[in-house]
Amino acid sequence: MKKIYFCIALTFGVFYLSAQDITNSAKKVKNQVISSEYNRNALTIIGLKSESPLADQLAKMIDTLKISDKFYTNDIGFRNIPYNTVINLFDKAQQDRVFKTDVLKLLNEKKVGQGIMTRWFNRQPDGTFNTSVLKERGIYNSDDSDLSIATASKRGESSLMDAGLGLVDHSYILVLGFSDLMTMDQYYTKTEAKPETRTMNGVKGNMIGLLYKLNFNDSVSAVFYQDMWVNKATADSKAKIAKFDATTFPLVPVKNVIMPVQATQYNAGQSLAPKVQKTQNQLLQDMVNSSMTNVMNQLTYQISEFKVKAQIYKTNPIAVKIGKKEGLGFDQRYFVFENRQTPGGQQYSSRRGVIKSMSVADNRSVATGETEPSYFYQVAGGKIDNLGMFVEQRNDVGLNLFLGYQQDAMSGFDARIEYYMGRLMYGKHKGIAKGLTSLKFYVDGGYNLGNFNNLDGKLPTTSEDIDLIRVSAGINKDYYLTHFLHFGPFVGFGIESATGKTSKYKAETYFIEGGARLGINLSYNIQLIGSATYYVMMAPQLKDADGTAVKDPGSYSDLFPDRAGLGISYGIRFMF
Amino acid sequence: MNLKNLLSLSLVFLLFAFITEAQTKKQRAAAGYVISNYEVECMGTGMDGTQLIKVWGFGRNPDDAIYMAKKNAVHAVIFKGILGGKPGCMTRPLVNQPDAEEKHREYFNSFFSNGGRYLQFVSQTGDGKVDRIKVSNKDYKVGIIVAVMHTQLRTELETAGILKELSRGF
Repeated sequence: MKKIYFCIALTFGVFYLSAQDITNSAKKVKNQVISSEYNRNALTIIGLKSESPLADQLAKMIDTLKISDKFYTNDIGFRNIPYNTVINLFDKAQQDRVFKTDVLKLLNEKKVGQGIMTRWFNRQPDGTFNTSVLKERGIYNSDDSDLSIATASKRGESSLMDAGLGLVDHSYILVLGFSDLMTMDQYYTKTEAKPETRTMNGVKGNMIGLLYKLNFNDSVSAVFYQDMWVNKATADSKAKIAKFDATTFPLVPVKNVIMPVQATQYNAGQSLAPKVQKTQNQLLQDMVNSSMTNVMNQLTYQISEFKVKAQIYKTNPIAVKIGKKEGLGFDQRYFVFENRQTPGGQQYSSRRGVIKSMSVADNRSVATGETEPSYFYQVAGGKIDNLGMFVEQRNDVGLNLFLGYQQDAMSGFDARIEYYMGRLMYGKHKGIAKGLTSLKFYVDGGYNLGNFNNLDGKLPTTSEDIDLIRVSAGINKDYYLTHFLHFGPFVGFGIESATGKTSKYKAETYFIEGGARLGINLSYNIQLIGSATYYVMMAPQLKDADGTAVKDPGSYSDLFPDRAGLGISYGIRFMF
Repeated sequence: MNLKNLLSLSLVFLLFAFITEAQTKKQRAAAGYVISNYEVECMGTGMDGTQLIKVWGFGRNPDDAIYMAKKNAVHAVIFKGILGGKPGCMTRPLVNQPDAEEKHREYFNSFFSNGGRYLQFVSQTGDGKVDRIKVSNKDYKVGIIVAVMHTQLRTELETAGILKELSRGF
C-alpha cells in the first residue's frame, strides 16, 4: 500500500515540477535575447577592515587573495579600508543602506574610481597617461574571430588595441566584509551549549559581498579626455593633473550578496577530527578563500556580463574556444542557445541544449588564430551545430539528490546524494578526460520498517517490528547514451542496522553493492531514474545495547529474508 | 468517429495548413527574403583592394543562408554600394547603369548561380563566427563578415564587357 501512495505522490510531483520548470523557463527565455558577445571584466578587491580581534589576520588574507584568471586584476595600491561592518541577515533596509550609501561613500572618499582609471591609463608618477595597458588588454581580450577580422582589415592588429578602450567600462569593484565573527568557543558560550556538544573549533560569522562598477560612460570619457588627459606634449598639464586628482570617478552599485560563513573542524579526539588540526590562521584562510569562491559563483549566476559566452566552434565532439583564460573548470555546465524570432518580429534566445566540459584548454595567451578549444559532452537538449549556436556559462553546484523507493532486496525508501568528484581530479590533466566526466561519489541511505522474527531469537513464533536503516557510499559514473538518456554503473560499500521495537539486541551487517542506473531527462536538471542493485551481505553481528557482539546470529538472510540479492529502485533525481 | 466529424476535422487541419503557410510567406517578405532587400554594412577597409562587409542572408538551413549572404555581399558591391556602417567601403556600386543587371541577365544568372563564379570574389572572415536567427520553422537569417575583392571584381566585370576599363575613360 505504501508503494502505491509513494508512486502516486512521485508521479504527481514529477508532473508538477516539470510543468513548473517548463513554464518558468519558457517565460524567462521568451523575454530576453542573450548576447553572444563576451568581454573580459576587470576586478578590484577591497576588504572592509573591522575592529574585530581577527581583523588584522583577515586584512592580510584579503591583501593576498587571488583573483580568477577570468578577470583582469585592477590593483589600486591598497586592498583594505577601515569600516566596522555590522550586517543583519534579515534587515533588508540596513543592508541597502550599507550597500548603496555607506560603503559607496567610503569608496568615493578613498578615490577607488580614480585608482582604477590610473591603472587602465597607466598613469605615471609625473601625472602623464599612456595607452600601453589598454593595448595589452585589448589584444589579450580578443579571440581568434576578432584576430581574423583584424587581420583582414587594413588597420590590422591596431584595431584590437583600440578595443581595449571599450573594456574600461567593464571595471568592477568587489567589496568583502565580515561581521559577527566569533570563535566556536565564543559561539558555544553565547549559545550556552552543553559540554558534550562542544565538538568543534574554528570560526563562524557572516559575510557581505558588495559589487560596484566604474561608470565610464560617454560623458565621463569625454570629460576625462578633454580636461584630464595629460601626455608629454600637453601644455597645461598642471591644471589637468590637479583636475584628475580632485575628480571622483562615479561608481554604481550593482549587486550585494550576504551569506553565513564558517571554517571549522572537529576537535582532536572526535571520530571525524582531521589527523592534523589546522591552525586558526589556516581556518581563516580557508574561510576567506571559500567566501570569495561562493560570492563569485553567486555573482556569476546573477550578472550577465560575468557569464562567459562563445560560439560553438565544432561538433563531434562539441568544441568551444574558451578555457583557463575564461576560468573554465572541468565538468562545468554551459547552456547552448539559438536566437529565434516570433512571428511578430520579437527576438529571443532559446535554449537548445546543455553541455559540460570534458577538457579545459590552457588558452592564457594572446590569440594566434589557432587557439586550442575546450571540448564538451551533451547532457540534455536537441541537436547542436556550429553555425551560429552559442554557449553561456551556467554554473551548477555539482550536487545531485535522488529520492525514490526500492523493492525486492533492501526494500524501502531510498535517498542519495551525489557529488561530481571528477572536478577535483582533473587538476593539471591536459586534453579530454572522458573517464572523469560525470564521475561521482555518492552516499545512499535507505529506511524500511518491517515485521520480522524477534531479534532475541525466540524463534519461530515471535515476531516484532524492526527498523532497518542502511547507509552506503560508492562511486558512480554516468554515460550519456543519447541527449536525454544516461546509463550509470556503480559500486559501493555499506552497512545496515536492524533495531527491533521490543528486543534488546541490534543486528548489523556490512554489504557490498553494485549495479547500474538508467535515467531519462524530464528537464535538463530533473531525471527519472531506475536502478538495479545487487547486494552481497557479509557476516552479521548481533549486539547488545552497549554495542558488544553477543552471539553468532548465522547468516543475515536467516534473520531477514529478501534483504540480499537483486533490488530494483525507481525515483527522481534533481541536479543542483 | 462518424463521417461528419471526420470531415470537420479534415477541414480544420486544411485551414490551419493554409494559415501557417500564408504566415510564412508574409514573414519572408517582411524579413527581406527577396535578394534586393538584404541588410549589409561596412566593417572597414580590407587588405589589398578588399572591403570588409557584414551581410545577412536567408535560407532553409544555416548553410544555405551563409551561401546566400556571400551572394548578397558580392551583389551589394556590384549593384548597391555599401552605404551603412563604418567608413572605408565604396559607397558607389561598381555598376551604375540601372538596367545593367537586366541587360546582362545571362551573364549574371551564370555568375550568381549556386557554386558560381561569385564565390571567387568573396571570403568569410571571423574564424567561422556566425550571427544566426531562426525566423520561422523553415527559415534562417544568418549574418557573416566577409571580405569582397573589389579590385578583382572590377577586373572581372571589365573582362566580361559589363564595365569599361578604367584606362579607356581617359
